[in-house]
Amino acid sequence: MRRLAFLLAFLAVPPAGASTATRASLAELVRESQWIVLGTTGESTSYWQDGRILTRVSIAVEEVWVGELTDTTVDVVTLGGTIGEIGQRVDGALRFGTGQRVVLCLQRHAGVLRVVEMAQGAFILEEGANPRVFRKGFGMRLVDNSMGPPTARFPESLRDLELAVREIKRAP
Amino acid sequence: MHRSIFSSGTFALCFAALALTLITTDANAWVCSRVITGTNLETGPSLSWFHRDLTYAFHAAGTGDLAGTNEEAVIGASFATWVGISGCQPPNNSTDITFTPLAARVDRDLVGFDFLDPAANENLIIFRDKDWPHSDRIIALTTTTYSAQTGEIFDGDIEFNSEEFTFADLDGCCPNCNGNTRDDPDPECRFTDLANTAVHEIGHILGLGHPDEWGELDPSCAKGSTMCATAKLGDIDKRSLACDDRDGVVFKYPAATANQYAEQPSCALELEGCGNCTGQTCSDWSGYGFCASPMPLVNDVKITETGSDDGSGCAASPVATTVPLLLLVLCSLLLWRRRSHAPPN
Repeated sequence: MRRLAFLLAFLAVPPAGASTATRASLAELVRESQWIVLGTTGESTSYWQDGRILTRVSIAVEEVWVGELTDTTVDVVTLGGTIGEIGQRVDGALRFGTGQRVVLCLQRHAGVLRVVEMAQGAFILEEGANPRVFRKGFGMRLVDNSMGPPTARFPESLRDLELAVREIKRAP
Repeated sequence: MHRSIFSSGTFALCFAALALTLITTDANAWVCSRVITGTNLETGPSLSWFHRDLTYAFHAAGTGDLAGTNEEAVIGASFATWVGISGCQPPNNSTDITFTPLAARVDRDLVGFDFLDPAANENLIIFRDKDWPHSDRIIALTTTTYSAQTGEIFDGDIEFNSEEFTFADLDGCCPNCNGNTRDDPDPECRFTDLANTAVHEIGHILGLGHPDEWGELDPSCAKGSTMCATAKLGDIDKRSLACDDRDGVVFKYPAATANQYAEQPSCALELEGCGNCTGQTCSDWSGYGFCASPMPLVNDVKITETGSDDGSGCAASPVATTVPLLLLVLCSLLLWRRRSHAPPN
């Protein structure tokens, strides 16, 4: 059995460590959010602003989990994009495909809506009978706070995520 | 007579599996950042500088985090980490990429690109001791501007969030700190190592991406690759490059040689055709380059697309790691089966 354990140990290579950010828990994301919505991405437009390329993406809102929204469509602005022959990449900034269902943690900043903590605040849906959610780094490097409490795993199903978000929001 | 559970056949299988595991985890996993195409997927050519003598400039404001202008020395050493290095894999080429700081600091706070006056752009290093414009948890942010057609990098800027984080040179510092965090109860431990962050961000300026995604298991990350997607706060290991990082930059920018790309990435490797990994035909890639492993192309180390929109270029195929792992599983099962059928002592 010791040999078996020895061999299985080889299967469990421990993980180790572009924009660089400290890892946020779900509770921290919820606390930083003014709105959390489930929606579908629509048209996007990129534009210049003081040397930066920004991309405005319209989101058709299906459900509002946190905050109050009267509009059924909101525009979210992300860093980076392409205008003509010039592209700009900001690691960690979200890049949406059209028609993608997402859960977004949103906050208003400098007059526009942005996703909280860039890639950390977006959950992409994998459609199915029980839709699942996952996150992507889009080039963001996450740094663990070694002194803090362990970060709990994020819910993997859409409805579990909704329940967790609402529970965090209800908590005092 | 008690039959050994470790028969010669099982032993050979296990030995082969272990050997393959050790060999293939040395396969390169570094990836190149790529042009983001109209579909918002990273399917374009890889991002590369088309010249090797790069310069950078400090913003005049500096930072109060380090005494005097000490940030210049730390950042300079971080750039130097990528200069004059050799790869670990044969033929152990070197790179001739260089970084030179401009003599004078610049007053202009331009992160991004001035397309009206391209010559006025600098690769800017800027500390934002106040008015950090991005999310609070971002420690540093790299913005790269490039040609969407060729992937040529025009400009790369790094912003450091010195409003929310206190940067320091932690080499030899704070032996009593259990890692440094901004939330540490001990004020002497509330620092973020500047070089550890800077070396990683400079890798992005060179066009390297992350070999892994959040939560993924990449062998190069187990070996401490600077370009991996996760790290520990207070970590200073990423100041120095791992073999995977060195091989990546040496492959992209080999000394006295044009930038390298993998041409005809799939077809040449007898995979199942370009259509299966990129959605494009082989002819679509002619004239474009994108990065791939510099490893010799042997049967069990193939090159394939690692994902459509995950920031990757090409990397060692999952085949390279899954085959030996499957062998290990098989080997383990055999051992378990033999053990369970062995006569009792």
